[in-house]
Amino acid sequence: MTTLDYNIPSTTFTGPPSNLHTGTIKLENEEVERYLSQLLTESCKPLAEEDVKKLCDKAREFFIEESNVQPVSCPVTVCGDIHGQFHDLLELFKIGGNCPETNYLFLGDYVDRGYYSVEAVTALVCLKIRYPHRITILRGNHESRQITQVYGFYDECLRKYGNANVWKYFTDLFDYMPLTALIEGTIFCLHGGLSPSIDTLDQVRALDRVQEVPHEGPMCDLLWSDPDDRCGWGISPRGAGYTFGQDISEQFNRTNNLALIARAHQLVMEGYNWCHSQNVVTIFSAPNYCYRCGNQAGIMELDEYQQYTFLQFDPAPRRGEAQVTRRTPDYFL
Amino acid sequence: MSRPPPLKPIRSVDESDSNFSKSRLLQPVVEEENSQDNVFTSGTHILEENKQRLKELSPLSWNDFFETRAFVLPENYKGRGFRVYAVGSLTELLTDSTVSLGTCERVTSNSHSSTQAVSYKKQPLLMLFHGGGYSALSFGLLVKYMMQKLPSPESLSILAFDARGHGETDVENEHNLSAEQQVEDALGLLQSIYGKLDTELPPVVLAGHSMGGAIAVRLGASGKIPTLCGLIVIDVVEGTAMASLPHMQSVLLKRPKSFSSIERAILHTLESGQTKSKDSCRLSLPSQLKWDEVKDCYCWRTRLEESECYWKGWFENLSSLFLEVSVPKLLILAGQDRLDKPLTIAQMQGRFQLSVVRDSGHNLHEDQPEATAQIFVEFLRRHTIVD
Repeated sequence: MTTLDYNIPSTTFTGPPSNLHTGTIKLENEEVERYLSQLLTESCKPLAEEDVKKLCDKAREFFIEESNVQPVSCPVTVCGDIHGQFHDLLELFKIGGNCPETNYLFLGDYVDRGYYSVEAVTALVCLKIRYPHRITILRGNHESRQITQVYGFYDECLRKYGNANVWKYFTDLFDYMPLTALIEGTIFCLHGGLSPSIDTLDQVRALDRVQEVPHEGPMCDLLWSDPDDRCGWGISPRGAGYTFGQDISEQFNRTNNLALIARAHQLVMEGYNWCHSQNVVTIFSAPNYCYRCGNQAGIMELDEYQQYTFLQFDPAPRRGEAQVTRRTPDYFL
Repeated sequence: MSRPPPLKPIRSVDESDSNFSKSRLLQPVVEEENSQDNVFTSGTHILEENKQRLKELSPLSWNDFFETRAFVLPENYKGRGFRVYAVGSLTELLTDSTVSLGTCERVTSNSHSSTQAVSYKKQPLLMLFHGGGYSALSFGLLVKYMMQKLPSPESLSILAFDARGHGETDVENEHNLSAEQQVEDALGLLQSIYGKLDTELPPVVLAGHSMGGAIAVRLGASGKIPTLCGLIVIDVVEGTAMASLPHMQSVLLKRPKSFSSIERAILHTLESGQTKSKDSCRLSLPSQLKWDEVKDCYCWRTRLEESECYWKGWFENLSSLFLEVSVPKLLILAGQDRLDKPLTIAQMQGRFQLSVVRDSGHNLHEDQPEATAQIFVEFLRRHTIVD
């Protein structure tokens, strides 16, 4: 009585079995480009299960080489949460420019909530493999086994592939994603925010990140915390991470010679939002989040001189995307 | 079609409590012709199977889940009062004859030491509000699991009560289920138990399911509990609730009107999927029924169909009221897609904790009591309400 019906036309993938030799991580550029041309269109078709496995195995080789504080050069365009809104991700590339013409830094939360998590995360991982130095993909709190089982990605994988293998390939890959990035040594980028256990970037570099996002501790905080109007540290109302005040942000930026903390994780109605006297900026890139919030999306362009420009955009026209209806629960007194 | 012979209620011999008695409930179920509920098909083989199943559905007693129960009658109220169940040092308060009417029943094996009686005013209180048509006992399994999971069970009092027009509660004008009246009732109860509603009250956490969730939010938002320190809402969101209200009468109409035995009602509730946990059902369903002398069968205790005029008032403006209450908040849902627009925005801004209990229905604290208890206890610990 409580299941929700997603009235989505069948997107179950029933493609031909892969005739490519499996078991190797050899992946030619031509093949990745074939994946990309299959993915980066409005009529996007998810890849075959075997191809996803190869993709994830290959991507792990790149992620494993990256630092917990991955250096990134300007120019670069910084993007926040995507949450399975694949058609809006295509719109984002239209507004911001295609990769590799534009360099990208994504701050996590590619999956869950929206109905096209598989397409969104597959496309981003393909881009990472094809242009590893042109795109940086950080981990968000939704890149986790536990969260994706509740918020949609797991169910979507089951729906589209008939089994949980693809979910397992991706969530195993998520463990290797870098936690933070550092643009030109001055802009610290991450999904959530600061941690009371961390004062310096070297402490972030020292974390053992290859694991499921823990329930508490510094790695959890980096992916869960939020800036707050109140000073100091606070218990986060979310149930994980902390809230941190302007005093904390200022101190952290001073200690680490930073100009700015760029983060995502929180919905901001204009797509971006300054706080803590421009010590922190929040970027959120899922327009009309969950198909109901009416917010704009934002991305932050940094040119070669680290000058920023914010670009805002609205939801993509819903061509090719199914109408989603929600069934109300039977009993509600 | 078959059914057991209608069983007349037998007066309880050991206590004044007349709502239902163990001796009647434990009578063997005998199959017969002319069923009033359409749960069974005839056939000897099936009858045998059903007999066996019904035997496993005997009601459970409150005293395996709570330490004490009593009737509490707030000032200026008429009737027997509100049926309350408690664990923790609240037990000491309820034993006080000025608080509860008649006998306060205690489970002696769980009795507290006298030192705890002194500290009752400091012990945080979790007050539970059940959903429409349910009763305080719908929280029984949750409470039991919570007491197991709390770092020290002495650190929390829990109070659950049958709302007006529900369960064993007996107060005047019991059909007035308006939100305002129910908020008033809860305040009256707290006042009767603790005296004044001032800063001397223990820290209070309000938690409610469905209709009870709406009442908990409204009580929290009233500002009349100065020591409020937490708010927990179970599976009710204004947008989704308002959208489903137009279908509610037809949902209620589909329920069987009567049952020939309590076991059959339990079986029906399990088979219809309304509650998935057998033990939850065995504990809470009996109090949702009453014996109808005239019709010679069990009927629903609460006349939900007649409460329609109050439904809108429970849920209207609920999301903004929930967000206004400035204490730590936890919303537990049976499905993540049940949030409405204001709560989706607020959740994505990190303004409250959202937890989703998988493999459960609307009645999630009955379907998954252990998982729900875990979420409750982690919330209380995180916000240092309990050690």
